[in-house]
Amino acid sequence: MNIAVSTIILFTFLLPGIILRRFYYTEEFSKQFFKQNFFELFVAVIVPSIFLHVLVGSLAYFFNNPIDFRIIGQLLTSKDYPVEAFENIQNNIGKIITYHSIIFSISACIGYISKKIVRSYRIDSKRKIFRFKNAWHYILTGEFFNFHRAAFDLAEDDVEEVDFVVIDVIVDTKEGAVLYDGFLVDYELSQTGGLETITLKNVQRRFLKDDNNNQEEETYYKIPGHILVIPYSTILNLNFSYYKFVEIEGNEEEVEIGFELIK
Amino acid sequence: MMKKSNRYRGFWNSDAPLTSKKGQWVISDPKNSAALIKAVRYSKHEWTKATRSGKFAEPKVVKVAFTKEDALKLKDL
Repeated sequence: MNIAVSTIILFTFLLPGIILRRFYYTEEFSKQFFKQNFFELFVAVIVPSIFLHVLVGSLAYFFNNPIDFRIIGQLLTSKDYPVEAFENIQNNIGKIITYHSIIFSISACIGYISKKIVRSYRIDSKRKIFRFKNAWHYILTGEFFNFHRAAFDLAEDDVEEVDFVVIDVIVDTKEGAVLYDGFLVDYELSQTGGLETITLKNVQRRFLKDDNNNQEEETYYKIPGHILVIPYSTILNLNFSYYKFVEIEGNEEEVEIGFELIK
Repeated sequence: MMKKSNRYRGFWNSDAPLTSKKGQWVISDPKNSAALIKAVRYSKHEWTKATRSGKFAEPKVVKVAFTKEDALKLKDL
């Protein structure tokens, strides 16, 4: 058995599953694609691969181009140079490329469309089995309100109505705890899936030690700049406020916009 | 004036931006985001004051000083 040939065949066999997963775990959930160990990854890849090969192999059979499993067997088991197998591959290279182009395209489409469906209908936040391993995403977007286990239901609004998120962050410094607040702009996950950084806009800060309950106005320092990036390692805690815009007066010409917390 | 976030562009666009289109539009614009955050802070401050005084308080709807043109655009988003 030629190990190099066997490895190439095995990799080619598993590639549809790898492509499907690559297109399913994209954007904010892309870290999940790499996070599993080899065994978990193998199992997660082999099942869709078998399904896709059965599907496209049946189609090939239907169009009078059946897969010759003898050739695969020869490539996997032959100790010498399998002349017949390589000649067969050479004679059918066009069909082999077409087969793999179709199966790779179908894998990418299934992965991409599945993710679109799961995200569009919020299936991941409503059903735990579909939930992505990015807990911070659900907190930062307010989608955790949809979780069955969450003891905090929205009585009037829906998660989709969240227009913007304001965050108060307490950061530990040598001089004491500092409170930052601003709009949530973005975030970055670490390799382990935890929060790495959080990015805010229109930020101001104040030292908590300067707090005075009787004070009419709290003293804040504005932080000019486009964005402020706060490393998660320095954060003590985070306070989230989810807001939606509301139209105060319905007149087309004199519309006034306000906001309120979602409830 | 209208600024579209990268999150809404292209094949790889995100399904779940951190804010809505309206939020993205306002936050991207320095003038509008400054007006909005000022109003947010005012409402939070008023809410905190009311809570500290021992009264049961609920956050109120606060108007934001967008221009009429911006407010109309925001409404249409």
